Amino acid sequence: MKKLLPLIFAATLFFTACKNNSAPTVDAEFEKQLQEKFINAKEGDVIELPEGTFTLNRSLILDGVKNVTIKGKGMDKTILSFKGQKDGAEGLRITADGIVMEDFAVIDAKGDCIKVQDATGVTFRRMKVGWTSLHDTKNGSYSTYPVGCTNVIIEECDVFGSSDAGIYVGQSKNIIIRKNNVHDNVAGIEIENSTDADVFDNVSTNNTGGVLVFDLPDLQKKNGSRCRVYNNKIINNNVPNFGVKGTTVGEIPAGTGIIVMATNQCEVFNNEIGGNNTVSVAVVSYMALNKPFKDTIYDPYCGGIFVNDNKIARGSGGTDQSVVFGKMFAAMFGDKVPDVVFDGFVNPAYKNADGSIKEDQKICIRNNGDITFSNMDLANKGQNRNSDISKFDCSTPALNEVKLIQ
Amino acid sequence: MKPLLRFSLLFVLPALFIFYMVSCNLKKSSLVALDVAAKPFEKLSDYNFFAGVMNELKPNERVLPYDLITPLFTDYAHKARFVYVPEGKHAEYDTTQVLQLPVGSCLIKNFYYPEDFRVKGGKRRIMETRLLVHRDNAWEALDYIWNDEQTDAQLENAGDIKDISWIHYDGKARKADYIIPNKNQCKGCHWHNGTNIVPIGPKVRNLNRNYDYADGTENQLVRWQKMGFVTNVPAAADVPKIADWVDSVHYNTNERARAYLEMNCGHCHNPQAPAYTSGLYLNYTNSNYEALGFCKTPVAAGKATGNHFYDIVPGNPDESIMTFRMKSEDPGIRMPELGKNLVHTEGVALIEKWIAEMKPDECGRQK
Repeated sequence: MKKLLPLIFAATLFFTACKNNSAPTVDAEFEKQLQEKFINAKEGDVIELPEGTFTLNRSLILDGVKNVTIKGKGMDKTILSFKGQKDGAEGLRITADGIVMEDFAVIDAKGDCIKVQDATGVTFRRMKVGWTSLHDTKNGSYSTYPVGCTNVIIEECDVFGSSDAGIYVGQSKNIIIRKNNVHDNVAGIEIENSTDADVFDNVSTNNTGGVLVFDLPDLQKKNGSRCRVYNNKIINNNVPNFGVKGTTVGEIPAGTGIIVMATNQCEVFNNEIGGNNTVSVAVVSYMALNKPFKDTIYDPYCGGIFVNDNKIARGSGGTDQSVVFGKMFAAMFGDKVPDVVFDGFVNPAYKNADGSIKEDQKICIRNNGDITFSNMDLANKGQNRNSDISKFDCSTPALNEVKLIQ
Repeated sequence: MKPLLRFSLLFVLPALFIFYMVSCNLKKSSLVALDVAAKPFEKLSDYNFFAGVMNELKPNERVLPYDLITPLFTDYAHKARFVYVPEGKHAEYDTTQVLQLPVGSCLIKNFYYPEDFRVKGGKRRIMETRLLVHRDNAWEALDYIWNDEQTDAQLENAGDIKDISWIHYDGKARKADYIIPNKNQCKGCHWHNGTNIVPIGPKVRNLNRNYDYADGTENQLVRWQKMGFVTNVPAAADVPKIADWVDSVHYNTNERARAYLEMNCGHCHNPQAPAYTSGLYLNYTNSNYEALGFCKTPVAAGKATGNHFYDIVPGNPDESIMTFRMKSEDPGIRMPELGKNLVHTEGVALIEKWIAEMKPDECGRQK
C-alpha cells in the first residue's frame, strides 16, 4: 500500500491538472445544491459560497425571503461563471428585501450579471461583476442592475465589460454608490429615473463614458431628481462605444466624462475629470438625443444642476463622431468641444414671471478652474451659442446626504 | 419452529401482505388526495389526479381536462391541462381577472412531446407536471419530473435540463434542451403584485370554447358550471372570448396578434407585473399604442435591441426590436425570457404580419 501512495498522489495531481486546464464544465451538482439553498432559504439566512470557480448554466434565483446574505470567500476567490449559460436572462435574479451580496464574483452572464427588482434594502459589497472579454458588443447589458429598488448600496466593487452600463441603477430611490472601480464598460456608472443618489469616491476609467445621470420617458417611475456625484476620479474614458444601436448609451461618444440628461437637482463637485477626449461634463435635455417622445408627464429638461469645484482637464484625442451625441458636438465644435457644455434648453415652467429662472432650477457652473464652456443653443442648432460662463456663476440649494430609510 | 411462529409465517404475514396490496390498490382508485395544509407529496401519483395507468393521464373524479383558446408557447411542448376543484367550493364568474378558484383547487399541467407531431394519439414522452395548488391565502407552484420509465413523477424544486427530440410537423427531426423551471422561477410569470403567485391561463375569455369531453362536446364554461367549479356564468353570447391566434377565418391579424401577445407576453408585460420596468405593456386590455411598443424606445434592452431603435416600427417588422427578440435563441436576448429556448416560427410569422400590415411610420427619425 505504501508503495502505491506516490502513484495515487501522482494520479490525483494529473487528473486535477487536467481538470484545471480543460474548458470549463458545468458544475451541475454544485449548481443544483446552490439553487436549492436559494429556494429553501429562510429569513436571515447566510448562504456561504465556497472558494473556487464554478460554472453554472442557469440563472440563480432568490425570491421573497427577507434579509438573506450571500457571501463568498473573496471577489477573486469565489467565482460564479455563467459562460455557456443556457437559461435565464441574468446570472443572479433577486426579488427579495434586505439582500446582501458580498465577497464573490459573478461573470460572463448571457444577459445581465445581477438583477435585483422591487427590493427594499440591496447591498453589493466587494464584488467582482462583469464580462471578462471586456470590450465586446456581445457582452450583457448591466453588471449590477437594481431596478425598482429602495435603499441601494453598491460599494467596493470591481465592475467591467458591460455593453450598456457597468453599475446601473434604474427607477430606484435612496442610492449610495461608493468606492467602486468601474472600468471597460460602455457607461461606467448610470443612474436612471432615480431619486436621491450619492455617487462618490469611485474610480470610473477606461469606459466609453464615465458617469451618466439620465431620465428617460415612457416609464412608470420617471422624472428622477436629487443626485450628487462627488469625489470621483473620472479618467480616460475613451474606449470606442461597443454598445449596440438603439440603446441610449449606444449614443455616448468615446471620451465622455459625465453626462447629466433631463434630470433635476443634481450636483457634480470635487471630481477629478481628466483625459476624456470628447467632453468632460455635458448638461443636456432629452432633445439632444434627437429621439421623439409622446410621454406628456415626462420632463425632458435639466434643471437645478450645479457643477462646481471639479478638476477638469480634457484628453488630447479628438471628438468621437460615430454616435448621436458625438455628431452633435462635432457639428458645432469639431475636435475642440469645450470642457463643460450645456445644450441651452430650459423648461418654460422653470421660469419666473420676469423670465428669470427659479432658484432651484438654475444651471450653475462655478469654480472649476480654467475651463472652456459653451451654452450650445441647440434649439437653434448653435446659431447663438455662447461661451460666456459668467452667466452660470451661481449656486443651487445644497442637497442633503442620502440617508437610507430604516 | 414453534407452531405459533409457523402459523404467523404461513398465514398472518401473507394475509397482511395481501391486505396491504389491496388497500394500496384501493387507495390508487380512490378520490383526489390534496390536503392544502400538508407538505406536498414527493410523488405525483400520491395525489390520485389520474385514474388507471398514470401516464395515460385519465382524469379522476372532479378532475376536468381543459384547453385554452390561445395558449402560451413552450418550446413546442404539448400540454395536457386539468383543473381540480374540491367538492362544495367554487369560483365566481369574473371577466376582469383570472378565475378566482377556491382554496383546495389545483391546476395540473402536463408537458409532453409526441414522438411524431404528425401522429395523433401516438407515443409520447411526458417531461413534467406542474401543479398550482391553492393553499390557504396563497398559491404554491410545484414541479414533478417524470421518470424515464414514464410510470410516475418526482417532486423537484431545483429544475433540470433534459435532452428532447421529436419529429416536427414538417417531418423533420428536431431536438432541444428541455428546461424545467426551478421553483423560484415560477414567479417570473405567475406573479401578482410582487408577493403572491397566481394562475395565468384560466381566464373566462380564454376558456370560452368547446371541448371534446369523454362524454361529448360542450362549452368549457358550461361544463365548469355544471361541475360546480364556477357559478353565475351568463348566456354564451354574453361571455367574452379571446381570438384564437391560429384562426384566420374568424379573426383578423390584429385580433390574433393581440391574443398571442396577451398569452405569451402580457403576464409579465403589464403595469402590475415584473416587466413594468420596461414600460412595454402587451396585455390584451392595454389600449395605449406607445406602451404597446409603437415607436417606443427600449429601456434596458442593451444588446437585445439588435441595433434597432424602436420596439415596433409600424410597417417594418425587420426594424422592430419585438420580432428581433422573438427570433433569438440567446438567453440574453430572447423573449419571453422564461420557458422558451426555441423560436416559435409560427408566432413570429403572426407578429411580423401584424407589424407589416400597420400603417407605416418612421417614428419621426431619419435613418
